[in-house]
Amino acid sequence: MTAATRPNEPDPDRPGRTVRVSQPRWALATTYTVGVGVASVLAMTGLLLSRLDIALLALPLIAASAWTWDRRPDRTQPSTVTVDLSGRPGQAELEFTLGLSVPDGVEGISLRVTKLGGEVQELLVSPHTMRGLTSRVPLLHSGPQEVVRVEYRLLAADASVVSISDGPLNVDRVVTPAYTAIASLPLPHRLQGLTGTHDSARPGDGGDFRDIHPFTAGDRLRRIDWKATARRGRFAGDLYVRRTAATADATVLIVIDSRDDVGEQVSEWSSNSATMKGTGSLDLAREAASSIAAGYIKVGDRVGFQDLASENRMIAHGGGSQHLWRLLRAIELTRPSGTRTHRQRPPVVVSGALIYVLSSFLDEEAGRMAALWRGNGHRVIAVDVLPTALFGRTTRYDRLAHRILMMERRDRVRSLEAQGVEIVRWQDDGESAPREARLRLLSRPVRGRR
Amino acid sequence: MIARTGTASAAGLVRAIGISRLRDWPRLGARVPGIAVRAVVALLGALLSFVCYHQAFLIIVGLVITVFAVVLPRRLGAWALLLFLAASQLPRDHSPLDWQFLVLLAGLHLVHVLAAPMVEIPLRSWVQLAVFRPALLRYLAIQVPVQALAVLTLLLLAPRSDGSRHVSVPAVGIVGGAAFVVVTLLLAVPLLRERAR
Repeated sequence: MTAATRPNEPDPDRPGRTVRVSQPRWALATTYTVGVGVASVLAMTGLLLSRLDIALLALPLIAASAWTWDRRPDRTQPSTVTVDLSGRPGQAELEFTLGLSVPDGVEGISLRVTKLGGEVQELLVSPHTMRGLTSRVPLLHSGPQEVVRVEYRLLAADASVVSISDGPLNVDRVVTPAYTAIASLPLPHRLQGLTGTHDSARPGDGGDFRDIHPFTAGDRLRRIDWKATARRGRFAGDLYVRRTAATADATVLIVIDSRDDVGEQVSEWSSNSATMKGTGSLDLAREAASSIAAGYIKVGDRVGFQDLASENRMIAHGGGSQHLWRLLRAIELTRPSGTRTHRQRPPVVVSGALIYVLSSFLDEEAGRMAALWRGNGHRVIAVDVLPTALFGRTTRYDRLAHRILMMERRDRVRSLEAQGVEIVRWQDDGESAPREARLRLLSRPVRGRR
Repeated sequence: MIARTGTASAAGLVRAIGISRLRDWPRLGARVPGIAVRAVVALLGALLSFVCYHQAFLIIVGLVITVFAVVLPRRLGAWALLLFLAASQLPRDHSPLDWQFLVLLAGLHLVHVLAAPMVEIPLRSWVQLAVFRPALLRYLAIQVPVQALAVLTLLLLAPRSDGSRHVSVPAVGIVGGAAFVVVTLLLAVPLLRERAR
């Protein structure tokens, strides 16, 4: 990399534009040296053998080499590469425009364009075209990702003078996952707080009818139910009041297991290519987490966020639209970490919280955490985000390995269910009950105190 | 994100369309695949081998060098081909002003012009035709006077089969040879200095 190269900089005046200005470092190509060498050999041979015809064969090569030497690009002129990304929110693809301003004398630009880290597209283009080379990039996944990577070399004077590549220009974007706030909201076993939209087990104000109760000190006179008093009162002083339930809010913790991201194409599990793997488990996890967070925040509950792979990625419980934006930002920034963690204890959770654990459950860690939380008395819902497997281009050994892995996973999920962890499969694949139905079932009031 | 709450098949269809978009190449206008440049060099090498040599063995050697130059361009076999083709002039007489010499003069230069970018062009790539415009214009600008000069000098200065010449100016030969040496040194010295830096 040249000393004068400045790192990729977003242009403050043009959102979506990434700019890099660099001072190309030029080098003579080996072809030039060899061309001069061949011309010299021919000229010398012609001279030594007194052969005008052979000497004449060297003439165009010498002339071309001399011309090339004379037309070397100016070393002081910088080159500027710009990548403009444009696309409306929610659109399935982005359009990028690649612009390259090059020093005088450049005749060709050797480009290597990589979209989404997939196949490399190599092009040799004229600098006159490079005021705007457009193409499209489909958005196959949510979350942080490298949308386009551009590498280039400048060629001048019959490709006899070339610039040394100063490293790739990476254009990264964070793609917001699509989400729909879930309508059916399972609640924790015990609601907390003195306000909210859910009926708690406590008597108080704001909720639905709870029961008829004998009048006690502190009951307000307007709550006396005269019909019930007439019906139930055995003595003259007996009074009965109508009690309503107090309202409370739920505390929800969303835990994402971002240690791995496996796609639906089993054959791509080892390479994990963004373009070929299909829907990934983290795609589903981001969508699920955003939908859950939006659903609870919408009804006034308090939601927190925790990334199981990192102790630093934690957002404390909170409510309100600003907190929702904070949560959504944290969720969309979740990327596979690849770290293998083994926690001795689960992260501390406020008492009475409902915990969603979003994981592919391909190993023990997320399930172990869920079981520990359940053992501490929390209601835990395990959201299975493993996408439905597709077996295109798999070998017999791949399928066998997948089968063994799934058997282990099934045992793990059954074990969780036996410990009281409720399971929801996020992707509707026809194998299990539809997600909405399952959530509706889970959101039915549970017996016991809230 | 595109594949989300829909059915698996619908999501798969959308994803397939997305992946097909991924293979879209940037809009370039008139372009040729990178392999076309190699094909042209191979064709030129083969044609020049047939033009320059008449013995089967030497033609085969020319073709082998051509194939080597095209398959492994970074090994610079194209310039070995230039020397091999130029060597075809050695056994000929001293006044070869015929179409074969003029074709060789043009062909060697064209191989040099095309082989240099061939080194930089990957096999699986696309090349915009406009890239070749300056090189071809330069080629014509050099070739036209060189061909005229070749005709003129060979007619005037090259000895005929009986050893006589139209014009015999010994000083021209000396000056011409010295000029060649000077030009070569002028090119080679900065080149070596550049390499050493």
